Amino acid sequence: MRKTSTLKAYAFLAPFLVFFALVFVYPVLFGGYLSLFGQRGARMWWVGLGNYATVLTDPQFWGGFGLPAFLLFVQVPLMLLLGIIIALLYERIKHSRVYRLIFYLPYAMPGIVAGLLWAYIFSKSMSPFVPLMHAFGVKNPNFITYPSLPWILLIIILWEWTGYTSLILYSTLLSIPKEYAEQAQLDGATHTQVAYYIKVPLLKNTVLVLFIFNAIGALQVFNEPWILGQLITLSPNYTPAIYIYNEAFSYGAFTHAIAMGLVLAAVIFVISFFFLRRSTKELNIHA
Amino acid sequence: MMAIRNYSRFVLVAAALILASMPLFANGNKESGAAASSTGAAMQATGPGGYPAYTGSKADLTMWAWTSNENYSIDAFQKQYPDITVKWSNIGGGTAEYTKVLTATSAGKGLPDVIMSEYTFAPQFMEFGTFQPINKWVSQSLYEKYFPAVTLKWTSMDGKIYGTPQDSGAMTMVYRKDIFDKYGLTVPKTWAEFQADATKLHAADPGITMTTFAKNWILWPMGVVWQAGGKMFDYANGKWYVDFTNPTAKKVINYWGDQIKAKTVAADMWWTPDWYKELNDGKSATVISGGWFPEWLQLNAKGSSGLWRVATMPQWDASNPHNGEMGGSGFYVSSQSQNPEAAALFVLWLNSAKESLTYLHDKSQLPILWAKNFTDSLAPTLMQTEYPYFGGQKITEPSVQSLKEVDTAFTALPVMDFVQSSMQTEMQKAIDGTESWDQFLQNWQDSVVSFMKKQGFNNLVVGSLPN
Amino acid sequence: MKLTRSLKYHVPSILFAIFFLFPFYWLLESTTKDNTQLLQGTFTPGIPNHFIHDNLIGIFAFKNGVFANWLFNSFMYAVSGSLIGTFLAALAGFAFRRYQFFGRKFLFVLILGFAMVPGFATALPLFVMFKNLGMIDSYWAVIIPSLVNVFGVYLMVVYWNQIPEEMFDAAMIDGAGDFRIFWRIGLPSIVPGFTTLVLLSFVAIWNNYFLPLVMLSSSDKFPLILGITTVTSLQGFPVYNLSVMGAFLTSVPLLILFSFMQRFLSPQLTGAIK
Repeated sequence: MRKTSTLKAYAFLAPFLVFFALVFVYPVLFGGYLSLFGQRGARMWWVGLGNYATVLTDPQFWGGFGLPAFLLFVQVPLMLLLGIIIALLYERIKHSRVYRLIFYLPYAMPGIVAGLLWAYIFSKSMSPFVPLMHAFGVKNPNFITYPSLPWILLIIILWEWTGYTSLILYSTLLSIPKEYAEQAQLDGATHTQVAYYIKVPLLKNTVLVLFIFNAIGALQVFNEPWILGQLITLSPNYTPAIYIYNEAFSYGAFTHAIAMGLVLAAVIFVISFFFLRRSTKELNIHA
Repeated sequence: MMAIRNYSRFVLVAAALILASMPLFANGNKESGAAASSTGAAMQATGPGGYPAYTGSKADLTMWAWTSNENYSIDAFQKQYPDITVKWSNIGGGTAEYTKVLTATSAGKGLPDVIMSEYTFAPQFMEFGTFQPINKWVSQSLYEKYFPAVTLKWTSMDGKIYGTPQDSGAMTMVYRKDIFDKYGLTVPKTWAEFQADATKLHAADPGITMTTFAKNWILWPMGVVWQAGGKMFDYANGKWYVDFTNPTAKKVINYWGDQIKAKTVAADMWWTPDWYKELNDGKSATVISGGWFPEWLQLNAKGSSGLWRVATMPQWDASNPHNGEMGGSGFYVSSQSQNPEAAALFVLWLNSAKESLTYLHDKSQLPILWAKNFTDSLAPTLMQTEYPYFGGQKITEPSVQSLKEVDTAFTALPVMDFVQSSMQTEMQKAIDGTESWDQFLQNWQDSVVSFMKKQGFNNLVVGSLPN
Repeated sequence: MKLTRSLKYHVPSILFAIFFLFPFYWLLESTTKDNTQLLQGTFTPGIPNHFIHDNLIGIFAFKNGVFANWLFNSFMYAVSGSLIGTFLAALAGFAFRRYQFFGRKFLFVLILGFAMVPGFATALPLFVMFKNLGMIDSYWAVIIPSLVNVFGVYLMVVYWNQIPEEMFDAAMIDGAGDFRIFWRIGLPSIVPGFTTLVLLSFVAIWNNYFLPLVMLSSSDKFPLILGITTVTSLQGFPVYNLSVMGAFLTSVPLLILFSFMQRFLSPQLTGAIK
């Protein structure tokens, strides 16, 4: 039985909460206050909700959601699918530990570095694929173009995160009781049928969790498009996060950027609201 | 060079300074006396080498800059001014530093005493409140003693001087002699000749272009318009002027647009590995860039050593040469500095003292510096230096000549980051052929104007330029 | 289930392996090249080999060896941030798991909600706050924010949930105080999860670029990931062979750490979510 023990609980929570308040609560609240002002350099003047009105009616801001939406509806499902396939492979193959390590390694590479590497790999000059394409008779292959950019980003992000995803899915598979599969096999099911009809449905919750966290990541995507922006022309609002960055650090309009950031956070919050409700239930966090 | 000399006014100002200043222990020598008298009057109390003496107490300065791998000429400076120490920090070049500058300015704290900024970004910082005026210690007359008055357009606004200019980006043309020889091209002295060469080259070998128009670097189109004696924006009397569609700009941009369409000139992103490769592989017969480019080339295109030469820019009118700038940076005093006098004296000395200039030229590899001491004293000694990378050519002469031809100047807009990014997006349409180059200029201008209004600039004049 | 060596499973695995390993291979072979060789775009290491000369030496010599500082800083930030941060998360997770208290659900949602605000938006207030505390451009400005690991708290709750209630009840009956229960019974039971979180935090802090960018202006305090972006030519343009070497050296410690710690990567990463 869980005890009701407010004092003790907060004693344990205190160290974390102190830093949390310092690093998140105060800046967000202070930032919220600042977002009620117009600003140029160190000069500020009251505009009330003016910044928010601008943000909500700014087609550039909402237009930037195009790429995150692409990632959300194409990259995330694809990655989850690949993750499941790979996790099932881990289960079946001998020496899967080696594969697990290899597939997990890209996660260790910093996002900026990964983006840079892939930018070089796909560039016209440093790409080892160019001589290869020449061999196939393709004259001047140009991998990174404005239309191809979302697909390039897809490849990079899949490369970075699929291994990590597959590991999480694998760990869930491990906790499925062996009896289910064995019973089905005794009844004559093939491995593929076992996989499809028994295991995959049991992965549902993990997939849901992963989907939401990846959705949050997709909506905040910055590193990879930013790096590729060095090689190809990108509009300043290519993603909402890039737009916010430019507003703050290229034009110095910090208070407006804060307003944009809070609006973006609200959008993310709404989208993950259902997840939050679900997860509090799953983890027995009742009021 | 435009030189505003008004001796009577100068004398009055000098007299006022002398009366107002405290009696000081001057450390001058014969040289300073001669220097002072040559400009017609004495200045504030003289310090080392004819420079102003420092009247404050011990000061420790901090500086953000990125063009040195060693300690600039700080050691030498500290010997001249023993009460001032300078600590230099490289926090990244260009935009990496500007990020911090904008943050610290908005926060009201966190700026160093001295900030390096490219000339095109300085107006943004001036308007933003990042710098403080230093006229008190570096008056306009003192400034003009050491620097050409034309540079005031990048180091001052509304008569308030904020810093001093360091290197020059006076445009030069570097070309591949081997390609010129192979295809029988002559070094063009006019843009008409350039276009003729380009057509000839393209007919002989479509794989090589005459040059590459930098479609992601605002300084390039800005520079070529400047070189024609024109401009697209400026600042005067408290107003920002924006006019991208004036006749000069249209003439120049269409000139390049026609060649891009004819594929005799390429339009590409610069400063990318792909572009470096083009240079190394000889896909570009010439490069039009700032006066610092030859040094850059030596470092980054080692494979084509011996094949390049430096020339002055082709002209629209050979009898009336002009030139423009692509790049270059100045050193400015920040508005949060608690030691503005020390900082002012530092930026003055750093960018004009002969000892410092020698150091900057040699160690920081800055080939052309704006200070008069450079063009008058130092450059002549370099005229005979042969550069093996350029096949033994003595490149100082065309480089200095290019500098001397810069006779107009203007102030950049305070939103150059956006000017550049909107240029990139809009220009792509003209390159792809979906709009005309005139339309590109108009759309680009509209985009910039609406952006500036959104950022709160209500002092815009659209469609005309001051002079 | 019988593990198979059958080809039809190995072929896709090998293909995936090639896909995941290829950039590492490219990175490694690129560190042997100078700028000209890099621009030739080949699959094989450069001949002559520039790994030591030019590249390695170039990076270490940059600005009088500030690279060594960067390396040290990265370790310092990552070790302190991951260990202390994970400990704080463990404390917090324990509280959520063990106790019923006023504001429990609300706090849980609140924490996750605040963490959704993108860092760019809060950079200025954070900067101002640290400036007021006199900590800007100090090690603390990087370490303190690293201590807050919201995802870590969430993971910790999952790990704590795996410990059966009976274990706590037994300890209570034995008369142990709450902190003793946490320290002596609880923590040892979640060692795999704890280690996993330390490892994940280490990677995240090691790779964190934006926070030090805003907080630091002295290059001798930079972490590796930030420092290598300042390795440029004198006019601020990138020097590609040094960039590649820098990227390599930034990744290598992590790869070594990963391989070494791989056995601790608990299969129970999200075990309780069924």
